[in-house]
Amino acid sequence: MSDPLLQVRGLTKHFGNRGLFGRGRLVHAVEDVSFDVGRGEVVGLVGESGSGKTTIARCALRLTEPTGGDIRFAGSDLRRLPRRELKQLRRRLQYVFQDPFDSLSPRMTVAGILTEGLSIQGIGSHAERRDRALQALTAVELPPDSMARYPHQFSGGQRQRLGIARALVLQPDFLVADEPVSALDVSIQAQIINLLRGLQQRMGLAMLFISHDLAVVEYLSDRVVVLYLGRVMEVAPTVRLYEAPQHPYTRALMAAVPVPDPGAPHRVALLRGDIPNPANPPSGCVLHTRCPFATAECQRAVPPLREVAPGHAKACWRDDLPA
Amino acid sequence: MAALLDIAGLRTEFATRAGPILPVNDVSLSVQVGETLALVGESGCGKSVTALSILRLLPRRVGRIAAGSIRLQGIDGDLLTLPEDRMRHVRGGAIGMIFQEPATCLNPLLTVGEQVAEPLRIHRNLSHAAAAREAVATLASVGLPGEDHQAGRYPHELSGGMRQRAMIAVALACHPRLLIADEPTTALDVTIQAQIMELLRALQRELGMAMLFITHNFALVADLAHRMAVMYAGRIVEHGPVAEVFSRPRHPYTHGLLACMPRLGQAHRLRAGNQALPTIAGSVPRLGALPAGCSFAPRCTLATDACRHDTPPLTTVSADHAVRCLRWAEL
Repeated sequence: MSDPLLQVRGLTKHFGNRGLFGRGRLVHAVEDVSFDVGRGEVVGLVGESGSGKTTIARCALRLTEPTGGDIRFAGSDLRRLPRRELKQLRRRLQYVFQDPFDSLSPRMTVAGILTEGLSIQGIGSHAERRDRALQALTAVELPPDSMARYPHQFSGGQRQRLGIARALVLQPDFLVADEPVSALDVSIQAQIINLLRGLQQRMGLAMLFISHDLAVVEYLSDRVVVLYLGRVMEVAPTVRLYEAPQHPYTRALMAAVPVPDPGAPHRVALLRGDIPNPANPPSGCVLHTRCPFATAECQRAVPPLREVAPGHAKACWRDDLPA
Repeated sequence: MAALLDIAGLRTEFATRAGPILPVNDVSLSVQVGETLALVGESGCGKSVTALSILRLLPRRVGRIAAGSIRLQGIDGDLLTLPEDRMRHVRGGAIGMIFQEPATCLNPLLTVGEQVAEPLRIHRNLSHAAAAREAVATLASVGLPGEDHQAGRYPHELSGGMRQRAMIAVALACHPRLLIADEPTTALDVTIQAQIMELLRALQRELGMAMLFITHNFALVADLAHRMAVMYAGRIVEHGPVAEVFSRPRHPYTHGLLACMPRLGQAHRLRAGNQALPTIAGSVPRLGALPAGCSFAPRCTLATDACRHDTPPLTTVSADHAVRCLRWAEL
């Protein structure tokens, strides 16, 4: 892609600790992560706990200061941007959280919640702000009379719609959605994913869509980045990733997802043991402690992310694994 | 097969400021010896309250059991009216239980070995030394081997998956005939979930123990259970053998949920064909504001006036398959 909207290069984030984790160990949340998100493109970020997916998203919005690496948004270096310009850029970068209830003030009406960002950005008159709030409400398929209501009067799925409306009211060109459907029931999850897809298409939004669930990112994503313990294991166009996953971790993740078919063979746990503590990540390839294919080389050296097909890269030393 | 657990007409009532609600409404279920029955439904459907009602673990100020009877093979009398001291021996004795979040069940001040040993002393009158020996063996059987000195560890020293194994060990210590497992893998990562599911399947096979497996995840039902009961707004809307319900769901809700279940590798094909993901319109009604008639009617594409008038009775479809829908034959 010639001119990516978001460009992440060598992103690293270590969290220091003040006693809580003891022994002065650094938590290696994100280690040398690079990826792009093109204009209007949806990139899925998938990983289990400790994979660093949320930290990456927070760094991309500069809600967390990275330890190292570069993040460029629309050509600007986000890490060196002065406050004023960062505030202006913030309008274009919006965030949808997992549990909208935690992020929607219980004391504000929907009208207040939806116009707050516009007020902070100094956009429009009172009437214009209300107008845009109403448009956002319509876009997420909530009735106009929602404006006078409070968050607790909405169901979980409706609250997530409110969270999306709040992000969209500023007409961003980039949306980070962090586990936006994980707290929702299955019947509601698909509603929200369909809604996001429709909005993304209509508004030409670029998105970083984060989930622990491979099945959830599949529908929305153009490309998927698979993370494990703060590192990229595999990147591929969605169809390639689901039809021909290359990395043992991606394969294990897919094999572990239970299949809603009583006739299917039982799922097998391909990875043994537990996810290691990010405060003490394994040497070499971080997966080697759990990987059935690990060799001595995997313990010694970190495998680089290598392209195996156009747009498809994996960080694994083994090229001799069965297809 | 004989019924190990037989629940008839269970009704649990919660007092709320707006008046009483029924999180469990006229629920009848049976679990046969050695079988796994999955109780499945979305949040608020009453599946967990059903489990807590069976165990009589609902705090009195929250709710009370308003009607029904629960019989467990080998226990004289109704569990619901059993004196509390006898009920205490049923919990952790004949019935073991595991929950979603082990951290809330395990005592942070005791090692996991001590916690597995405790029910052995209480329910099986083992000496301290004998209970400790057996605790190590039980922990090993759930994948926490003795050579790693797992018995001497405290819950906070274990990962989420290990804690879940420790809780399973506590539940299994006294060889229960029934294990009630309430969303035991929901808080776990998917690669760890696969390990715990393998463990539960193996333990059930080896111990011949029956299981009431409570989940929102139909895929786990397919993976583990023999029979299933689907709950919606406090009622069982369909129950039957897993293979039959999956291949021929008779309730529009079951049908809709099965269609919504994400299937890995299918969504990108739908998208390529410009198709939306299947959904169920609307959302689960609040128990305090249930519609008249069938609670699912407002979301149901098949609903008629009759559906909005009376609660449909549980109708037999085939030998062991029943559905609470007036229009099941048309589905």
